[in-house]
Amino acid sequence: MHNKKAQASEGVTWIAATLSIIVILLISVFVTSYFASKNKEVPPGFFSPNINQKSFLSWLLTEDAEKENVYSSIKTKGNLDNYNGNLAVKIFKGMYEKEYLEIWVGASTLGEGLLDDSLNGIENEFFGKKPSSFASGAMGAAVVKDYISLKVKTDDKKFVEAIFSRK
Amino acid sequence: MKNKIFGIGRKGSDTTISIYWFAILAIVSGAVIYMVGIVYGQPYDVRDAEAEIMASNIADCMLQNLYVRQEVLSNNFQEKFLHECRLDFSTEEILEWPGGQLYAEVNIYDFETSAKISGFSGGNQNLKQDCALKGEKLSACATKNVYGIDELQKRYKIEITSIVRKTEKNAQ
Repeated sequence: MHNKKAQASEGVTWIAATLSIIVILLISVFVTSYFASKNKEVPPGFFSPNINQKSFLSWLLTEDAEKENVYSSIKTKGNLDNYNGNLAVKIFKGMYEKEYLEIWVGASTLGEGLLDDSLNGIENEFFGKKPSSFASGAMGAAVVKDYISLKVKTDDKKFVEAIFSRK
Repeated sequence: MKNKIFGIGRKGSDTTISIYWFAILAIVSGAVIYMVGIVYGQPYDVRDAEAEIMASNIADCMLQNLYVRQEVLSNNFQEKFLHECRLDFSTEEILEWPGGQLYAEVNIYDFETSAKISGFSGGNQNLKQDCALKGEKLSACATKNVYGIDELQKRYKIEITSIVRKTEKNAQ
């Protein structure tokens, strides 16, 4: 009687083990096919920085009526003015708004404190406040958005910056 | 004394266990082979990236030392386009693709007035019709805009369209 019970429980163990193996395999196959189908494309926008950079540098080289270029103007005034701000809106929002979630162009200063290398954007009337691309806290910081950041140094701790957040 | 598992004698039970282990081995191997097949069986679709690289290279060609090249503003750049921009549209012939697999078009507009100044293209222009449609088996299209100025401070909008077909190789 005891021998039969032992045999039965041993049989149940084998069946349970077999089912476990099959279930684990099915889950593995499902997970593999899910991720394999998702990662078979190189994400678009990977090579966009080169093109955006050309527009950004051309904007910085554009001169106003007094023959002063955008770079020099921002370096002197510390922020966008009416002329280069409106031109930036026409270039960056006009040509790239459909491709990106957020676009911000303006002057930035090198941040001090928790994130030594982060740039604090100076608010301007054309693009508003710089979008927060970092989530920072006591334990450190993490990039929360996929974005392109283009910057040119104007002073020791000052930059002209263009940010394009990907959709 | 007989040691029975599933009502079979010792010799029979050993055979059953061996068959069982072989069956499990076959199932596990089959699953591993199937998963490897899923991961490596399908090709990576790199056409979007290829179209973007082409657009990026054309943008490099349109500007020289950060200024728009004067020769691209003239209408006779059409003949020089592929050669000057170092674009080689010949593709591998192993798949017996119908016609050309690549196309590139550049249109240059006055930034202020949006009037077209010049335009040139190269490759198989039949691929353009795919850009208006949606689907995995169609050509990958990339349209990129570049703002540029020339040395006289005239402003331009350069619109670059690059198209890559290569469907048989990238989308199965």
